Amino acid sequence: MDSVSSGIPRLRAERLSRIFGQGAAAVRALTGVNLDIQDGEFVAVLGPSGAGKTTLVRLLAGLDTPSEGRVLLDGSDLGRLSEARRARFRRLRIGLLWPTPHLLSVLSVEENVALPLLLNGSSKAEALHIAQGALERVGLSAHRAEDPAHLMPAEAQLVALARALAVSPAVILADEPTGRLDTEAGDRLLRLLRRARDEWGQSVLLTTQNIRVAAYADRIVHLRDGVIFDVTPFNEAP
Amino acid sequence: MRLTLILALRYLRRGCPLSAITLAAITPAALVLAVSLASRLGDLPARIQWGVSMGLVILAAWLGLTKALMGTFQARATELTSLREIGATPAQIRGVILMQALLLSGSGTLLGLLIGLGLIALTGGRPVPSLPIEAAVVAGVGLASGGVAGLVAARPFTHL
Repeated sequence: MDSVSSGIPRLRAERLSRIFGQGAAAVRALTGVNLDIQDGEFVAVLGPSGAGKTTLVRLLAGLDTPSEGRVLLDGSDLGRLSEARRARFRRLRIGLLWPTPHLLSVLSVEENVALPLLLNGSSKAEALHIAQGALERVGLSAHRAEDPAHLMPAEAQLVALARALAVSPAVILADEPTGRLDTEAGDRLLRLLRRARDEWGQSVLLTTQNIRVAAYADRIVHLRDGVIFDVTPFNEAP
Repeated sequence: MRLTLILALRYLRRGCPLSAITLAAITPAALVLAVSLASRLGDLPARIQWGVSMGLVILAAWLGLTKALMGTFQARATELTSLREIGATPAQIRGVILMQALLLSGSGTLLGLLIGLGLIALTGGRPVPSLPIEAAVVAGVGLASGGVAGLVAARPFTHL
């Protein structure tokens, strides 16, 4: 579905709450979060450690189930999908980035990038061809045959971005992707996320504790103790 | 299927848990010994006692195999979680784990058959399996025990 023509937000969180544990031991990680990400929008969620940023990303990606509320991607309620359908949805529609790259150690760089396509049933030749293109976008095509263990941390994180880009997802969800990178490597990754928004058609949601990183976004959503308390339009990248 | 096999083989090449193969070898070896030596025992109670003893050995080996596989997959938990994040379905993740369990238990079954037959040959008993169908039954039980152990070990990674 084309979310632009239909007027539906690309990704919508409605009254999203997540409570871990029960009774006196219950911990409320998110409370009533409402958030829309429009097609081609770059949103940063800014908050300190423990604010609920990772919980939010996991819920938006369908990796966790909300205690209340729902997540809609292009109008589809993730909570109404079976686990298998949600997995296929995530594979094709959502690109995920974490503070660490989460690459498979038994696969080469290009095989890691091709993996979502292979899981989706693409032929090896086709998947590797697309993976090569994604690696070129992030400037790592020379490393395609390497073992991920031999990469620098910044390079490994770019491979994770190439893997996310390979399926041309509707949304990239990046949970503190620059948290373990130095400033230069972090900026390189953030510029690529901007390109994903500007040139490759992805909507981007990024979480961070760093206002300088958040300033790459069009809009900053402030999250603290699981609650959104402010939204700042922010159109100029540093 | 091909991707599952490739991933399983690569993981086993990276680190093949010998404890799992050894434990998987016990079931077929015990089966061969149980059937072969039972014929030497005279009365029915002695045969039943022998059968129960071998059954307990097989149960203990299966529990040990399950625990060994769980330990192996727990050590790869981060990567198995990554598979889920990039959109592998629960069935695909289960397939990767099950394939590794079957490859390990298959190797163990082969080893167990050889050990069992070797022990029978040393004691001069009637070698069982002596027929292809008996060998197939023993191998099937060995693989099934590994498969079920693999399914149990896979459960935490498909219900995250």
